[in-house]
Amino acid sequence: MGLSVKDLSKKYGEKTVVDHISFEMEKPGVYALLGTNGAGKTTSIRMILDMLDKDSGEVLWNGKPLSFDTCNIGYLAEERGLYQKYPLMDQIMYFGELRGGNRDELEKKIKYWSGRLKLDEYLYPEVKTLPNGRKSKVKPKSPDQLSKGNQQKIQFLIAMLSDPELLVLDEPFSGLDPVNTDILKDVVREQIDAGKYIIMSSHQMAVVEEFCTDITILSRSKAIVKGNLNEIKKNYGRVNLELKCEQDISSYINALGIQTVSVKEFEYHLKVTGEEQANALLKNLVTAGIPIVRFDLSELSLHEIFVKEVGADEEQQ
Amino acid sequence: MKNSNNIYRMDGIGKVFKFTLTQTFKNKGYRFSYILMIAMMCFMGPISMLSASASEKAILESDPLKEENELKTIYVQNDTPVSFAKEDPFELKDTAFEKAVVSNVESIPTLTDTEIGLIISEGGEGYLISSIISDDSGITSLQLDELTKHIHKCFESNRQIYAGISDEQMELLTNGISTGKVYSLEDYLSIDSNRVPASRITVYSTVYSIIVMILVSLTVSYVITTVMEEKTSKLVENLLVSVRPLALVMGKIFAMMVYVTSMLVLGGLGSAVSTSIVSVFNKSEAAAEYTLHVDFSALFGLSPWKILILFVSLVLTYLMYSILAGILGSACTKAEDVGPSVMIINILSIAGYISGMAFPSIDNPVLDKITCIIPFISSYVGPVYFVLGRVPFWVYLIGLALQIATIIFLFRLCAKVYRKLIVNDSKRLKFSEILMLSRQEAGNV
Repeated sequence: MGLSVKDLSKKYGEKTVVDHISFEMEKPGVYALLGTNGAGKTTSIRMILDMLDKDSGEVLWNGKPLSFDTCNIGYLAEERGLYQKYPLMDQIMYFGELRGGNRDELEKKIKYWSGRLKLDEYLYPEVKTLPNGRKSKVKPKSPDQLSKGNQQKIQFLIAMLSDPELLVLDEPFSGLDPVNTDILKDVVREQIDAGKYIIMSSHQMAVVEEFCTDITILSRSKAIVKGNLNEIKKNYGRVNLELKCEQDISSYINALGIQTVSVKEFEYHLKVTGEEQANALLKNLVTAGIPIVRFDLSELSLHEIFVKEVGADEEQQ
Repeated sequence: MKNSNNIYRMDGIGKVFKFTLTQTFKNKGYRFSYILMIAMMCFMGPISMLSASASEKAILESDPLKEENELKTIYVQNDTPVSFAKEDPFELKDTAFEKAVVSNVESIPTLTDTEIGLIISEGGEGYLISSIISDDSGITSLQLDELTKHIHKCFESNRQIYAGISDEQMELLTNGISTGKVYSLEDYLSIDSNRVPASRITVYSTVYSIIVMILVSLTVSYVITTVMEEKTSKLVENLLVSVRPLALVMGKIFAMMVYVTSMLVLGGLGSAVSTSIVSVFNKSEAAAEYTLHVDFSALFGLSPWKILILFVSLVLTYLMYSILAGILGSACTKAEDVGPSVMIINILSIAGYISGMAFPSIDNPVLDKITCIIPFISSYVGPVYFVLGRVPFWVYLIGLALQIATIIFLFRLCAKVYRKLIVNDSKRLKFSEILMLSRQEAGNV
């Protein structure tokens, strides 16, 4: 059950833009679609949401073809925008009503999400007290006066209005400042805790790594890495060694043929072949009586896996 | 459960319609053009009527030496047996010449600059009314024309009385005779016996064509701009997970159709009311002529079902052009694309309009049938030809069937391609490319 994407393919003329992509989301969580620009992420998302015709493949939600008839979908598209001439509240209400909401319920939900996403000043008139003591309502800003980040938050609010079971977020954090990124991250965490299925596409590996349980890395329309993130990381082994001492230990590092990535004031970032090599270095340092401030052996980051795999794929070509 | 792959589903069309119409009226620009258009239409009738009266007045008052050269005496030398009433023989009361004294004479004397001589005589080809003025006369030729026209009318009614002919007898004698060709007895029998003359059909056909063309040309740019709005706002993707593509486009098309129709209906009603009000206060001959000019008596004699046919045909034509505008609008990718798309529809519309104006006067049964059948042209001439008895019902029916088939074709095309067109942001697609795109779907349109 859950979401099942099977064998999705798409060609534009002779050019294949998505080449037999499959993945499963059997339980709630975050699935990341990663890839370089033009790798096929957005096209895949559009096919999953049935906006584009598939040349092959199917997308099932609980065993039935995915559509907004069979699943309550919330979608934040890669392209940000709003109707520039229409009042924001009218637009939000329109989208809410299209998704089947009634006005009273929608008003409450908009109020909630507006507060949550810090959008009140853009949606509700501000009451100001004039010097003569009278109160005056100041109209909220029109859509064309909003920054891209705020337009993006409005679109996110629209996506959340129907309380979706499946949330598809295409580059949700791009264009947001750190404060708004944190606001959005908190909401995503809440949604994960609430048992929602989330598909996320992003270039910001650190952010994706924070949330996702499973990933697919796309390179030139094909899935080159796919699966559970922890499993993928395990397969690469623990090869990142962060080491801090109080003296120069270059000779010990070189003696074992360990690759140095960077050094700053006896703080070393090393690339080892595995746990054995790291332990050998640790043993040599302890035997030599060199005091060790920090010894941290870790897996590859998602960013490193991405760069490594995509780079290798491009080299192959 | 409903079939989610059914491209013809239109769930949510009402919400799209309501939102689009509401926002259109909320928008200052649209609201301004709506009010301006209605106001212009309301003023158009009275302004035309008043300008006709004003030019009539100007003609009569154009002489700067009016006081000195005011017409004082009209000498009449009547050489015909037709007699006139003794008091006010030429019914000059309430006319611009009411101060003039009419004097019947045996022969016209030497005239001063404020006198006119009129000789009514019998000639070889009928009666002749000759007007004579002095060399130094201040009476203008326009004033003279007005007077002789008036005398002509007066003489007309007097000679009828003199001959002892009633109005009905006069009509019997003076009704025109025209000839027409019909190619089969069946055709002849199917033609309404109360056939309206070609000249009248031309007037009705022109008026109908103007109505259709105004509707089409106004709506097309509104529809294209509104349909394109999704692309410019970059909201297409968000909408496509909320509403059916066909519901989205049709909701917008219908909203714009209602916007333009309500504008024209209100403008038309306003114009009728304002013209009537002005005509109550404006008793000039020109105003009366202006009112008579728009003679739709033949239309008032139509049966309710023929009026229904006119109405249904108008709505279908409007729908056909609007759907076409919707398709072409969704193929546009930027503001510069709107012009060429509008032009395509306007060319079609102008072709229909010209047909509606030019073809009725040709009065050729074969041409009549052809024009009533060809889609896009038939919508301009077919309904008028049929309701006024110019073509038989079966011809109109074929034209109507083809028009409905065209609408169904466009509707299906719209359902098949709209989703693809609206997510296309590379370049404007031509109609032939749109057709190709539709063939990529399972089955053709």
